[in-house]
Amino acid sequence: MIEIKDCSKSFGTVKAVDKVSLEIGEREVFGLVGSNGAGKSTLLRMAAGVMKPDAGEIEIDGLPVFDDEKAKSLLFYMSDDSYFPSDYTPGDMANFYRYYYPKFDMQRFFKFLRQFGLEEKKRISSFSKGMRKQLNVLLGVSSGTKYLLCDETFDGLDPVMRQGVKSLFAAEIMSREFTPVIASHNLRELEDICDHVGLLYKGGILLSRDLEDMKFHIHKIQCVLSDKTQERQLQKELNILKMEHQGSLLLITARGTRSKIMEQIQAKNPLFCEILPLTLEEIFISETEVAGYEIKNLFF
Amino acid sequence: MKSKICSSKYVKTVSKGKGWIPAFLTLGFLLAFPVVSLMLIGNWRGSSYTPEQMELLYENLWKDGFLLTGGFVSVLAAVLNGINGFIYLYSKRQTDFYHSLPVKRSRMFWNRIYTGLVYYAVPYVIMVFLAICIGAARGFFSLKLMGAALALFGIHLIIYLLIYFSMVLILCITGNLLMGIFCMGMLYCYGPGLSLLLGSYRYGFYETHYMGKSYGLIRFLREYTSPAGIVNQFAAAYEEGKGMEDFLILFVLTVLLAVLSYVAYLKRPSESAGSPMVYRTVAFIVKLMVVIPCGLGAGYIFYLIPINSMKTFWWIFGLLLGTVLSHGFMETAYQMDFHCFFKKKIQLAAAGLIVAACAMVYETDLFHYDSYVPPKEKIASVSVDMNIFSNYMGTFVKKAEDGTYWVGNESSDWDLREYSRSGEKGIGAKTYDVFCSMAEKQKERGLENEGADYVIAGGNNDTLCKAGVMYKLKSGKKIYRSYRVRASEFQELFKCLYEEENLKDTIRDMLEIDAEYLDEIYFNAADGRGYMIFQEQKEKWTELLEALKKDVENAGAESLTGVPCCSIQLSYRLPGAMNVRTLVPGEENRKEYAYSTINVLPEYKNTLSVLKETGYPITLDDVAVKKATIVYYGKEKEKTAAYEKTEDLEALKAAAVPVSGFYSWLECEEDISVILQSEQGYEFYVQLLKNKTPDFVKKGKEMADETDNQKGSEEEKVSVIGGADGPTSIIIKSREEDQTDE
Repeated sequence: MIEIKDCSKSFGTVKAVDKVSLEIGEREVFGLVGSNGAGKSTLLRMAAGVMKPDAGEIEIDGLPVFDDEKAKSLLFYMSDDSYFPSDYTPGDMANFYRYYYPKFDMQRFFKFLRQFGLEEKKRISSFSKGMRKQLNVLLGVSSGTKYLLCDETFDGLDPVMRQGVKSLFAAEIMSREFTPVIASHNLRELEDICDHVGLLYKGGILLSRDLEDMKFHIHKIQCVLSDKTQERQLQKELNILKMEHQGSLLLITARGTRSKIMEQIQAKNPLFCEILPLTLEEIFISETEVAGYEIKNLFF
Repeated sequence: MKSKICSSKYVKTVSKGKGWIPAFLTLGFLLAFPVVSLMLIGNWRGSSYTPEQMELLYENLWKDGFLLTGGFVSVLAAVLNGINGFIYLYSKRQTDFYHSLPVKRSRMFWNRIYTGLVYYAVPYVIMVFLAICIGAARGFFSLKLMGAALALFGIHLIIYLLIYFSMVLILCITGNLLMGIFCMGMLYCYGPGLSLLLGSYRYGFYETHYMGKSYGLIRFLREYTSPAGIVNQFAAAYEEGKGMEDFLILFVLTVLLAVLSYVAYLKRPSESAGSPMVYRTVAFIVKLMVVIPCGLGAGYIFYLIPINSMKTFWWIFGLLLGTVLSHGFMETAYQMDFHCFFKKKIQLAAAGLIVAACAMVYETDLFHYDSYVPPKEKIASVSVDMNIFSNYMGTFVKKAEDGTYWVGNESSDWDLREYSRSGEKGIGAKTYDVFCSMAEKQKERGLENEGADYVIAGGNNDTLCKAGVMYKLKSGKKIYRSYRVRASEFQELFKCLYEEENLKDTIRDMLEIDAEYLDEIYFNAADGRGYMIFQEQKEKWTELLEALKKDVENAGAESLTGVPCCSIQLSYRLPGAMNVRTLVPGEENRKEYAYSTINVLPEYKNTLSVLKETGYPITLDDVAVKKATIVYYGKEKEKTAAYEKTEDLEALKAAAVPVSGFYSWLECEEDISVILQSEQGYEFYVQLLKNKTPDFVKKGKEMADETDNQKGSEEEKVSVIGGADGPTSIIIKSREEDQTDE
């Protein structure tokens, strides 16, 4: 488990991370979201042991991560703008990493390279941005570390590759102890892969929830009711976060379990009723608006 | 993992794409060792050196020669490896990459040093081995040589590490290339630069600062505050077979730099990549270190430009301008933004105050630099540059334990000739008082004679001459001063030095050299002519030397500062120490040449009796003078008068001082040239003692001054070019006289 306790980091007068506390569980995909400058990269660099927090602690499986070989050997960090030594080929990178990560699986790495269509002996400097990101993911996965810290890793990957990486993560989680932490400013990138999401805003953590848990407690329903009194009754009975009309169609976003909400609506004998899937963005809109934040201020 | 990271496989892996460094260094060491070795051995064989000389040269090659060539490549290796190992700290991407690896910072630090050392040492050892093989194939091989090669490697390694760690330290405390280059320049040039500034300020503001020699703080700053300076000092000392002390300094500095680099590397925050300075305190110190000398330097430049009374105004202007500009540029470099040029005004004000305080120290001579004379009990000896005060200028010798001699030059090595009470440490009270009295007057004299450094004249009491003085303290410290001295003060100093027997030692030193090395004796007779004496009677040389020794021993201070009647010059050919740099092909022994002029005084009865045997005139009484010609130099014109009367000639002879030497302690008549003509027709110059000047000469001088007032005087016969400072060699006759002759 990665434990971040009251962590703060400032750059001059700018407070990049302000007293953030967070726990990242094992074998889950953790999404760290936030707008540009929210402190995602700083938090991830601190978690990777690259930077030392000004205050607070970061522990990986109970070990303080900064300048600790044992703790750092449990994680692999991929920065948003990864560096590859000049003249290195993917094969050289694998050779390089295996000195640092004893569990680095060369065979798997070369197998992944073939699967992703990357050439083993081609200079990395001739790779495109997307190819470098793929290579980095492959190196990270092959390193055999328990935690993989990815900073904007999906940015620059085409949808097919993105899907490939997601599948790779899923397979890894299934086969061994593996916890990817993905930092991104794009909610849509994370919604079909993350199990848990932490939202950073102006250096502080706004919320950290299980995605399923959030989805389980917020629902979006579209229905047609026979009269207005039923609508008013529903407003009283349900914990409604948002209600809007599209002609005779009523769109309700409400907090509560699916069965309980449906029970309340069915009791009003609606002419039509169905549950719609909620996007991560919509969940965040709902959650953050309740917390008193305008989503526009957070992402746009 | 520890052992793996120090494995050859790891070095091979991380060397991917960096193979050019060891390849480049291999080429460098190939040129530095085998190629140089081959070329030099070839040259020696072609230069007819004896086998012993070649042996000596080859031994020296493993000492001095390769120290230079290998040192150059070692420095290059240190720079390349330092940059290669730690330049990543300037890049955020690379810092993130390397610092995220599961390696402790400390291990990463040593790992990089290890990799650099492998790049350096492997080609070094291979090429040295090759050079040894080349030498062995040419017949030069000994175990001693192996020792020399090992010692050379040790020295080169220390030089490499010194430069390497200085590079690493700079890379660890700076965050971008601009600041890195700037700080590197500072590390290597700051001390010498500060030394130059300090020297300039002392020259500009102090009257007694001696520019000719570097000493004390100025020397320390120039030679020991820069890694390059220390390496240079060590190399120079090592060439002379010394250098242990400098090597220890080198070693300690290397360790210090290694520790500082290590701490700076460990403490360096990864996020500082790209920002100019990593540590705030260091940034502040660097800024102060730059702004204060820049302020003072700019002030000094502005101080030098004007020649009028506005000097102080322009100096203050320069101080202000330099401080503001340098502070602005530093702040701009720190913030990477020109808008910050005038920011941090409190720091600017603080720097300005320090600059003003430093400037005031020089302006007011706060520490009494000009009048300072070390306490008498601390002085071990004094040295005086007598270049312009006497005809003593020659050489002096020092005998080594192995019987060889070192010859010093009185004019350039004057500070090596140390005067102390004979056989003791320290100077006498009288001598000390003379120096104190001179020092007290320096400020005043400097202000009166601004710009006039060297005013030479034949013993006029009002004329000031500038002379270098060195006080050597018992602690070994040397303090140099340049004093404006009057002839009368010098006369006093001479007397004191003779009284305390220390100046007499200088004559003794020359007389005590084994007579077998005496090459020739040149006699400056009273008639102004020079003769080689006793060329075929070597036993007479010994007799003359013994007589001189006796006379010098018996002579008191009064007589030693009296009027010489003639002088002799002793020339020696001495066995010199065999030196590789002065080795002459085929010559087994080295010769050093020494000469010295010794004044012969009328009191030297023994010497005079030996000299009498030569038959040459030893006093003016022995010269039959038939005519005297005196040229009187008026303020604008000259007047020539001839004297033939016996009483006039006798009066002139009584006042005459032979000009074969220059005797500053004697007060002589100025603005006249006296030419005596012997019965044989020889002409020679003499000077006239002021207190014995005949009345007719005084009248002649007065008349010359009066004639000056009569414009267009037709009495002008002869023009003499060259001033009044002694006999003049160019005489231009007037056109009128020429026509008469025709």
